[in-house]
Amino acid sequence: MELAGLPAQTLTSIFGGIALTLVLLHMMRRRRETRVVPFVELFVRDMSEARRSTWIARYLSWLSLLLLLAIAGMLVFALGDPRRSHAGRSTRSTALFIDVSRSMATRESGGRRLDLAKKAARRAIRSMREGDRAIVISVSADPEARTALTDDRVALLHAVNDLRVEDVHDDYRRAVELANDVLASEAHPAVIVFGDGANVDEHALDGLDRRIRLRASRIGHSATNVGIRAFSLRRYPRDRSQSEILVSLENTDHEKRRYELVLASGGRTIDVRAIELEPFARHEEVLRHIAGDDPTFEARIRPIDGKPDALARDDHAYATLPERRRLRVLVVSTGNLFLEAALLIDEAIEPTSIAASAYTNAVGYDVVVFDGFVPTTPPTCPAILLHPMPRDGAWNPFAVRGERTTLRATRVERNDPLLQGVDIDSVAVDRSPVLVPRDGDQVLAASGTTPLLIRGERDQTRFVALSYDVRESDLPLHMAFPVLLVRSVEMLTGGVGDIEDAFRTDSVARIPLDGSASRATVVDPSGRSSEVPVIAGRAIYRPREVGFFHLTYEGRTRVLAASLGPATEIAVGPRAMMRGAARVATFHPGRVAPRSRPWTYLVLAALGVLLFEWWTHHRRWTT
Amino acid sequence: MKSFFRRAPRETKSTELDDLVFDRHLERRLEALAFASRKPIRGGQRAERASRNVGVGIEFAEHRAYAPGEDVRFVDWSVYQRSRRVVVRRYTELADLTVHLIVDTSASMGVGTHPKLPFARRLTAALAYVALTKLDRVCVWTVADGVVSRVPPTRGRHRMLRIVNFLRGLSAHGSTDLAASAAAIAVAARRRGVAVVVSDLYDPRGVEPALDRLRFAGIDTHVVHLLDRREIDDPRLGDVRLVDAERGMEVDFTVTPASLERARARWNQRREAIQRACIDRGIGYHAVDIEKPFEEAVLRVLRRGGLLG
Repeated sequence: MELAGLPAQTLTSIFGGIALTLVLLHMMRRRRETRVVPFVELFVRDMSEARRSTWIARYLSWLSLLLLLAIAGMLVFALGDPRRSHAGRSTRSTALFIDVSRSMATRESGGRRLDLAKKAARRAIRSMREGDRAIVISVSADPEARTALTDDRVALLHAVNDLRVEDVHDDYRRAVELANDVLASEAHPAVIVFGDGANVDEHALDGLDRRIRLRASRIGHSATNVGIRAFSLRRYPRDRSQSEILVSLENTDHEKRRYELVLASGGRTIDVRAIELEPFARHEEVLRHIAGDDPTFEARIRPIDGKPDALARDDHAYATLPERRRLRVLVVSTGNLFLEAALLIDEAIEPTSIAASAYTNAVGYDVVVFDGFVPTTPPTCPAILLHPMPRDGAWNPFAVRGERTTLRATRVERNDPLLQGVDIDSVAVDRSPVLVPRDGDQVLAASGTTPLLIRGERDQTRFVALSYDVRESDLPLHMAFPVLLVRSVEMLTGGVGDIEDAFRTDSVARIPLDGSASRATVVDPSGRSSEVPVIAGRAIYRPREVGFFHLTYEGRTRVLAASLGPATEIAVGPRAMMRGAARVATFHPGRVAPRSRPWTYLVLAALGVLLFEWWTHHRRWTT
Repeated sequence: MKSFFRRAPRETKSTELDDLVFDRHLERRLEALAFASRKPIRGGQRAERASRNVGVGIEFAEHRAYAPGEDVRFVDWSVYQRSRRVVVRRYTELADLTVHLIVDTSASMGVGTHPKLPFARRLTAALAYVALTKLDRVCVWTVADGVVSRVPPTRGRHRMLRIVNFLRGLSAHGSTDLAASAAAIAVAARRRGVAVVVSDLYDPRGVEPALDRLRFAGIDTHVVHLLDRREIDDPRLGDVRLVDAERGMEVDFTVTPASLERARARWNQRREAIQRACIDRGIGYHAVDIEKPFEEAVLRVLRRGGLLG
C-alpha cells in the first residue's frame, strides 16, 4: 500500500487535530442539562428499558465517539489516496491515437466514425490494469496531447469524450514524434491507433520508435463520397461590382452520381443547379457575373439520386469577397481637371486636390499624384509622377536628357498587370522629356529609346512615372487614361482586393489587420470565442472547421470564411495502417479491469458509518 | 374567638408560612363547612355528629318496651296514655368524627419551580380547621415510603396551632409507597372515620393497593389528587438528563414537541386511570389543579366532590 495523496505524516497531524476536536465536542455534548422531574415514567414509556439504557448508555455514549473517530479516520485516510503498490509488476504506458480528421465524420451504420473510435478507446481505457498509464493524443493537422500520461481513467475518459471532428487532414508523422517523446523513458510503451486510415500516408508511422509496440483499431467500412474540392471567387478586374465563382466537385464513387448545387449569398439562394458527376471524376462549375451587396458566399451540395452521402461535412463550402477599402489619393496639380475626373471613375478612390504651392507632405494618404511637380523631399507614401521635371533643391527621381516631340509608344510590356487590356499604343504624344531610368526601374512603355512609362522605387518610395504632360497628348481622350491611373493606385497600395479572401482549414491563416491592433478575437462557426495572437500586424489563426468566422479587433469586426482543407480528404474509404512494409496488428481490447480506488470505498464507508451513527443516535442507542 | 391564623405569620421568618394564613373571609367560609361522612360513625366523645349509638341525645331514634330497672324518666307517657303500653324513648347519641388527613411528603411533592407541598400543607390546614370547628377529631399523617410522622387524634379549635406548627415542619423527601403507608395507618387508626389523602399519587406501584387497604379498614376515604400540568409543559427542548426526584434514576432524553405531546397524553391517561380506580372502589376522587386559586380548590372542588358539606 502506498499513498498517492497527502503523506502519512500530514495525515497523522490532520487526524490528530480532528480527533482532539471531536473528543472535546463529545465531552461537551455529554454534559447534558439535568432536569429533575417528579415521575420519570411520564416521559419514558418503559422504565425497565430506561434503567437498562441508563447503564448501557454510559458505554454506548462512547460508541458514538468511536463512530465519529472512525468516520474522521476514514476520510483523512482517503485524503492520502492509498493505492496498492505496483512494485514487482510491469505496467504499460500507452499512447492512444484518436483520429479527429474530417474523414472521421463519415457516417457508418453504428454512428459516426469518431463515435466508434471513442467507443473503442473507452474500452481500451477500461481494460487498463492497475498501474497502467495512458495518454490521449488527438490526431489532426495539429496533433495534440489531450491528457498527461496518467492512470486516471476518469480524466482519460473525459478527454476522449471531449474530442470533436475537425475539418482538417491528419498528420500522423507529428503524432508519432509526440508519442516518441512521451514514451521515450517508459518501460513498456505502446501506441494504439483509433482511426479509419483514410488518406494516411503508408509511411506515416514508420518513424515510431521500434521499441514501441503498435496496434491499430481500424474504424469504418468502405464508403464513397462526393464533396466540394474547391470553392473560390474573384471580382472582375474591370467591374469589381461583379464576381465569378468556381466550384469544384469530386466523386469518389464508382457509380455516376447526381447532385444539386445550391449557391447562397448572405443566406439567400442565388443559384441552384443539378450536376451529374461521372464515376471517380471531378467536375468544375463556374458561375459568372454574380452581383450582390453581401460579401459572404456559401456553396452546398446534396444528392438527388436517392443514394446517401457518406460525409456531409464536405458538402458545404464558404468564401467571402474582400471588402473594398477606400483609398485616399492626394492630387498635387496646377489645375488638371483630367486627373480628378479619371480618378473618380472608381468609387473606392477618394481623391483630394491641392495646388503645388500648398503641398507640404502626404501624411494620411495612400497615394500621392504629382502632376508637373516634384516635391523637395520624397513623399511618405507611394507616388504617381506625371511629367516629373527636375528642379533645383527638389527630390528629383529622374535626370532628364533632352526632349523629343511627336511620340507614340512603340514598346509596351503587355503582360504586366498594369497594362493588361490597356491600349496605350494609339496615344499620340506631342512632346516629352527623355527621362533617365536608374537600375531597378522597369520601363513599361517606351517610344524607341525614350521611356514613357516607368515603374520603380526611389528613396523607399515606390512610384509609377509618366514622362509627359497628359495635356500635351491625347491620352485623356482614351479609355486607357483612367484605367491606367486606377490600376497604378491599386498596384502601389497593394490592390483593393480582386481575389477571394478565404482561408483553408489545413493551413495557418495570417490575416492582415488595419491599424495597430495588438489583440484580436475570433468567433468560430460553432460560436466559440478565442483570442488569437497578432504578429507584425497580422492575426495568426488556424481554422479547424469550415464556415464563417468573425474576427474582431479594435472595435471592428470582419467576416472571414474558412473553406475546405485538403481535397484528398474527400476520399473517405478506410485503409489499413502500415508500419514499414507490414500491416499494423489489430488491437483487441481486453476485459474491463476492475479498478480499485480505496479512497472512494473509504468515503463510502465513512458515509455508511455516518448513516449508522445517525440511525442509532435517533433511536437513542448512542447519545 | 381569636383566630391563630392571623397570628401565625408573626411567628416565623419564612415567607412560606404565609400560605398557612387565611384571611377572615376564607376563615368564615371554612367555618360554614363540615366534613360529610358517607358512613354512620361509631360514637366517641359527645359532639355534634349523629353516631351509630342510641342513648342519651336530642334526636329521637326509637321506642322500646320498658324493662324493669330502667330509668322511668325515659318512659313515654303519651304513648302509655294512648295505647296502655309502657315504652321508653331512645335517642341517637351525638358523637365526634375522626378525620385522618394523610399528607404525601415524598420528594415528588417538592420538585420544580412550583412544588406541590405548600399547596398540600395549606389544604391540610384548611381541612383540619373545618374539622376542628365542628368538634371533630383530627389526625394528621405524613407519608412517603411509610408513615413519616403524625399528629395524634385531637379535637378542639385550640389544637389548630399544634397542627399548623406540625405542618410548618414538613419537608419533601423520600420515595412514595402509598400502600405501605395505608397499611400502617389502617393498623394504627383506632377510630375509623374519614381519611383524606392529599398527594400527587406518583407511586410507581400504583395507588390501588393503598386505596384498598383504607377501604378494607372501613375508613371512608377521599383522594385529593394534586395536579400540576407545568410538570410536563416545560417548553425547553433539546437533550436533557431526566432525574427522577424520588428514585434518583437518570434517563437521557430528548425533549421534542412530539415527546412532550406523548408525555401529556400519558399524564391524562394516568389521571383518568386513578379516577376510574377510585370510582370503582366507591372512593371520593377530587382532582385539584394547584395552578388555580386555593379558594376554588377548597370551596368548589371539595364541596362539589362531596368531601365537605
